[in-house]
Amino acid sequence: MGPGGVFPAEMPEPGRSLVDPLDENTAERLVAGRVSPDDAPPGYAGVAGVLQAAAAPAAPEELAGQAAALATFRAYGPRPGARRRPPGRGRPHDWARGRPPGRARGRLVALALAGVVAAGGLWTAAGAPSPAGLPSRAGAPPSGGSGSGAPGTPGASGAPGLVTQARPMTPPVTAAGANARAPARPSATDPSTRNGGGATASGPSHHGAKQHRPGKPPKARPKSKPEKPKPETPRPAAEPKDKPTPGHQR
Amino acid sequence: MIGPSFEAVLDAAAGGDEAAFGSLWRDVQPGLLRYLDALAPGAAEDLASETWLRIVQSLDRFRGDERAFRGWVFTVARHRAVDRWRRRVRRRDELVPADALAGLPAPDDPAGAAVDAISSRAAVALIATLPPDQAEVVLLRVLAGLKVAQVAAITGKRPGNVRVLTHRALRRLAERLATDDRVRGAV
Repeated sequence: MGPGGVFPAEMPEPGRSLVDPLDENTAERLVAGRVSPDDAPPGYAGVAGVLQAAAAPAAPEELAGQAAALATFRAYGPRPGARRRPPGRGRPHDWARGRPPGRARGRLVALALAGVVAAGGLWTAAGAPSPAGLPSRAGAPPSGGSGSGAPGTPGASGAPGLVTQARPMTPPVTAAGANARAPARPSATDPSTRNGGGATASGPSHHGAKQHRPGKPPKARPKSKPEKPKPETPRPAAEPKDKPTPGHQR
Repeated sequence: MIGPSFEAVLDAAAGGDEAAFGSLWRDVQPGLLRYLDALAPGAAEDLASETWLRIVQSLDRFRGDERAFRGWVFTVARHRAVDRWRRRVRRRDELVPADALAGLPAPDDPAGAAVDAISSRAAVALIATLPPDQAEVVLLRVLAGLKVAQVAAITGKRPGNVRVLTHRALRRLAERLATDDRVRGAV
């Protein structure tokens, strides 16, 4: 036991050492395994032996897993004859086909905002005539306005407008936002917008939903976007929301 | 090390050539296992498998020379080991390091006396008894054959720090070998 109740092995090095310090070059050669125990500096023969032993050629048991590794390679590795993918972050393979992340993200934010506006517009549209014409107007928008089928069901169940309409509208907006963020990485969102020129089947439901302009949406959308009144703007926003889903399923 | 033909081998492996991947695996696996055995005793095989799965999945995106490839593999392995360690700490179902010297034969052990050279396993176990940062630096340099800068990048230290740790590790090893009868007997 040394002074202070400490075992000698645990005491800080007092400046004396059993072995001489190494110069940089010798340390490098030792670590690289280029110094044999016979040529090692005084006190380092054992170290040279240990380092060489540590880097010794493979023992048979260390290569026993080769079959499993090759099976993994067959299952998960590149296909024979495959081209090398460009290096990059995360999933360059997916991104190579899609748009840059910044743009995609911006688009999704815009979609989410448009969805919120749509919900607000429908809320007010349904809220205004509540005393009189409720059943006819209130039932229609939810089924087509947000572009998802889910809201239609509660809309049908509840006759009185405000509650049944507002509730179903809000979730699709948030759900679209949540969905949109998660699949933002895979490129499925982008192809969907590329394809999504408005040719999908959501059109008819829109016509049913909006009573004031039944025929216009397909043609007038791109031209009169800024000029149209509020209830129009959500329409183009509502369409892409649907489309990522088929894109993902592919 | 594979040497000058490494690039061709890597290209072939990235193109799905099984034999080429096999030679990459045979070249790296022994050092990888020894490194993981020091980092996570008893889990080296599993961690190595996880590491290779990851490597295989991204192999066709890798660019670099042989040393860079080894650095990549050992980096992935290190992350796997750290993840495992974190899981263990969270669960607290395992008390960490077993006696790393247990693999060393005692001086009076007839089996040990019969072996004239220290086994690679015992050598790695001896290095693993160093303070963790020193041990890791030496293992990465010796087993993976990495340069100071690569080790610094993997461990998140400065190159100068890696050099200092290497020197300290070597000196400490030398002192242990000079004083510890048990270790000396094994060597």
